[in-house]
Amino acid sequence: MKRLDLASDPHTAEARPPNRAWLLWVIAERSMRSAPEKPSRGRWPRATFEIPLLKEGPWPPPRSYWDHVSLSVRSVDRVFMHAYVPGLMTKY
Amino acid sequence: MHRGYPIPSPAALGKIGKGFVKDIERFVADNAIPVVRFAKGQCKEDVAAPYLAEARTRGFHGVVLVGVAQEKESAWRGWRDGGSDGHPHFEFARQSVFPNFYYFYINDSQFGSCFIKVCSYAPFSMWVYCNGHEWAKAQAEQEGLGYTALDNGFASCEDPAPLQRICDRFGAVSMRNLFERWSHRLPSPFTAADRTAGFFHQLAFRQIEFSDTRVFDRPGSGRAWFEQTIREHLDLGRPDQVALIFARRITSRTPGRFRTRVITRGVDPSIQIYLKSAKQKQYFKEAQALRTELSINDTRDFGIGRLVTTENFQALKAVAEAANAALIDLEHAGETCAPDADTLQRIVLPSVEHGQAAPGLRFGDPSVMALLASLVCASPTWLGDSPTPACAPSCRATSAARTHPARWATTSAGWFARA
Repeated sequence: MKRLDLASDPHTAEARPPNRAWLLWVIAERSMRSAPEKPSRGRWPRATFEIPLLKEGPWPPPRSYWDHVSLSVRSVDRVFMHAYVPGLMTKY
Repeated sequence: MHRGYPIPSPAALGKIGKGFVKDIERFVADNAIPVVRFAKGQCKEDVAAPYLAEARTRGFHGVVLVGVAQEKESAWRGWRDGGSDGHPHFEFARQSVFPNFYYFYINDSQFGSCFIKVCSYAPFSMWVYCNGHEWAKAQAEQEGLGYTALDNGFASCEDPAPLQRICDRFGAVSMRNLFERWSHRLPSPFTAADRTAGFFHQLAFRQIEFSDTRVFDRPGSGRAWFEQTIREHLDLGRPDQVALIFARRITSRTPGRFRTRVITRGVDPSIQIYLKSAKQKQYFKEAQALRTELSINDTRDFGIGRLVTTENFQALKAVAEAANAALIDLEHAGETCAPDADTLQRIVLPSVEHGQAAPGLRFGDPSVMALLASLVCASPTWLGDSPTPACAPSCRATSAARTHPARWATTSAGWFARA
């Protein structure tokens, strides 16, 4: 029996969709492919239309958005400093 | 007393202040620096921006603009309180006044654009503004490291590792050097004798921001993810969540107002979380990069001193980087789990396993979803693995919902094989 390990499978581990459109795209894309070895007995009608998606096109099954980071920088941003004369700050 | 005044009188403070203003006017005239008087409500950065841009274009390093603005300040004022004309008694106290502040906008060779603000009244405080990203840009240019700017940050870099090393070099020494470099060039109310007598400036952190910027290669999709993340994390400002992010114990006596703010400027949303006077902010910068930044307004909130020293800076940096990483990890763990196309098809379509037909499972059907959640919860027992933290929210199926589908799935041969 072939076991599918959801937690460690590279396709399923931490796979995240951008939104519901992704799920629709998956279903439509699968339906438009050539017939599988075991047809699904017509339970899933073939899509005859294209679903308009984001301009950039859908991502292939994404593992995580963080895998699409092209540059990551940790840095100090704005700094405000107060320069004071300790001897003049208080009366005594 | 070291200036030769017989008694400490308000007249002495007035003389020092007027002399300081004359020194500034002389400095401006000698160096032919443009002077602008800021109007009330005017954005000073916008006024100074063209002067700084022009200085950068021609490679000029120095003071490019002096701005004058009346602002509120707690300054020393003195008045006569008894005594005779021959031997008057003076009283001094700090009161709210509206003196002139002088903004020296500088294009520094190390820091790029920065400014120093000085008050013409005692106690002659100064404020220094600089930006760590601008400093890193100047260092990258000096080392010949190619980059593309993203506002005050980076959009891309030909070699990110050296860029991160440059950013890591920024510290208290850099900031102190900036102040020392310019406090000796600009007019000062203090003479060398004053400094010898102990009247010199000390630097303290007033506000410091630590940022974590992640540039996405598909910014449109990244932004869609960020907007979805905001919707899912509206509870980030609650005390229990804040305690997780800042790794600090929050009690009913912890000061400050705990809240999450989602602010939309134009079409760009940002999420803000508060702890005491510190603020953590996350937004999509220039529609290209996710920026997470912690703004610390009082270092005492984290039990760290205010003076600009290496120890204090490193302690603040450790707190901020841990908080920024914790927020990102929290969002990372909270992302919705979903299978890929192959797995989804294998689960939802009917199949035959070992000669036994297994029915299709409609994804989205409440009983199917409850069954999936139950299986994920029980996966350590069956599959020898532990559910990822990301699965945890989906595991809250009620016991009633679990019972029947689980029994049904047990009797439906092949389902477990697929799952």
